[in-house]
Amino acid sequence: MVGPSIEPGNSITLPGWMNQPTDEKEHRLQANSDRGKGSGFLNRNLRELRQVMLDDLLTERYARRDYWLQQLDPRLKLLAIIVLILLVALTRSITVFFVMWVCSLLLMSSARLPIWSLQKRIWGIFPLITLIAAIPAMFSLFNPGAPLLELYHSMAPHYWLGIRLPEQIYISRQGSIAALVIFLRVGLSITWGMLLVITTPSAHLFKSLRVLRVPLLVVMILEMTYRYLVLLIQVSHEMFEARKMRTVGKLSLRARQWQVTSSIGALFIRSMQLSEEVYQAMTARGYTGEAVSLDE
Amino acid sequence: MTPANTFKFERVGYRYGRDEWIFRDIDFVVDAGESIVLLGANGSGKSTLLKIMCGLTFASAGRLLAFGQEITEEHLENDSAAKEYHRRVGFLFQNSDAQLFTTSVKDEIAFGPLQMGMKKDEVRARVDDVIEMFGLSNLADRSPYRLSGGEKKKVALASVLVLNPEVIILDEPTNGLDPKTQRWLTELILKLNDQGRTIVVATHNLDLAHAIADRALILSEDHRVVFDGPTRDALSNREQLIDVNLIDEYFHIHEGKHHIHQYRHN
Ligand SMILES: Nc1ncnc2c1ncn2[C@@H]1O[C@H](COP(=O)(O)OP(=O)(O)O)[C@@H](O)[C@H]1O
Ligand SMILES: [Mg+2]
Repeated sequence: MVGPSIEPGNSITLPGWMNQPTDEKEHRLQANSDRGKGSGFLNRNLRELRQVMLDDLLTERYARRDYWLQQLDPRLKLLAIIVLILLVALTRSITVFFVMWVCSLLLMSSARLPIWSLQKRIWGIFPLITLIAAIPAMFSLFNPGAPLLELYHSMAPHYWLGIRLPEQIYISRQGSIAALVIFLRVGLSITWGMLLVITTPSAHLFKSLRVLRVPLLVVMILEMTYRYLVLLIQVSHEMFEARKMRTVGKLSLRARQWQVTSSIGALFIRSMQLSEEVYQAMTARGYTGEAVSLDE
Repeated sequence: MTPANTFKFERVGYRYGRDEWIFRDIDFVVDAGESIVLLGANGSGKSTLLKIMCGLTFASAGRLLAFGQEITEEHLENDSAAKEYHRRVGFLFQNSDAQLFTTSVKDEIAFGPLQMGMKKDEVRARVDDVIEMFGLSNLADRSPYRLSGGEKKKVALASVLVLNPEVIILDEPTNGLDPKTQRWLTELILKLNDQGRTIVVATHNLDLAHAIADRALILSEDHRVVFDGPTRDALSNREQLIDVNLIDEYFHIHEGKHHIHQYRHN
């Protein structure tokens, strides 16, 4: 049998400070400065993204249960969701939005999805960002109309640097509704998309695209994009964990910026190499530019 | 060239970019039905050499003949020639993640036969057979990227074998596998070879080399073929193995006759 067997050899000389493990106390002092809380915006978001991508989508944790929503034909689901998202994009009625939201909650509960954590994820990031971006639209400066809340009023016009300042600034009813509509649109679109994706195994989802006469090549590109995304998130997560393990205490802003840019560089190179290999793997199995699928 | 030759390398060289030569003047012949192991330390050029054999990348100098036909980029630009060549020569990638790109294990295995233009019913039957043979039934509908390392390797190999290639080329197949799966793989490779398939394996796993191949090629760190002969001789030449940085002086190689038996008569 051939096998490695390492005998006590002296070929590796350790530097002097490595001859003894670091003093426990000294170690703790350094590590105390920052641990546990405040892991930073980037870390938190990566963790969140990974949680959604890996835990919920990849493990297909919710997609593989036997409730009616999960059992529904994915093609039907896809069509229904497209209609619903179109409706979200076209309507301006707050009542319709509200009814849709209640319906989505009912659907989630009937599919035994974790409603509260989904709501946090759906409304917590993107719609909120949209809402903040839409705040200027609420003011009379951009969207005049019926005043809802007056902030400033003066009888005579004032000038500043030759600019005529408005006599009145208020939050307008029309502006507020516009901002609210944008917020609800984003949130509800995500809701419907999420509901589809989380209750349907990705393989079925991609297949159902074929019903809409999406060309096979496009479906394959989507599949592979999804695949890369997953791999990149996995890799980036591992990279950040590896870095975090080696980082004690707080880093300066500069150091963190450098970490992020260099990681993105490394990720880019890895994804280039990977896409080259994936293409070779397809070629090795006879792909010559025109893909064939089993179900047609 | 006799018809029995499967591959013939004639002064093959390969470079990245303009003049970064990875290797030059590689000469060797692989006969049909042979089982060859390519030994070399990390970075010695094993993967590159195998990819040239598979027609995935092409020699920058010299030429490669396969089944009596020169394999060039132009030759494989013809779709039917490419399909035919890739059906005959199967390749297991070092990195399973790169090899698995569809969303279910079943689709993954079906991909090759479908590209080859096989009838759908036949594809389904073959896929089912292979899934059964590899014991993958309970994973058939899963996404390949949700599998463990060993399972990924199995699926990747299944997707190669479903095409029933004459030549099977494996790039570091046992890396990251547990001992049981390694043993299973070793036995499978032996069986495939017994059935008359040509096997080429790149590895730095000397156990594997010992168990599966009668003939070994050793690539040195400066990318030259420094040995071509019986695996037994390759493994017993400690100086040489140390020289190409595969082992160090504390590594022990035990007599392996019993070991071969253990595999051969299972
Ligand atoms: N894309 C690339 N560009 C430049 N050099 C490369 C590239 N890929 C691999 N190499 C070099 O080619 C050599 C052989 O690599 P490889 O065939 O992967 O070796 P092995 O499989 O034996 O580990 C290595 O020295 C490596 O640094
Ligand atoms: Mg390699």
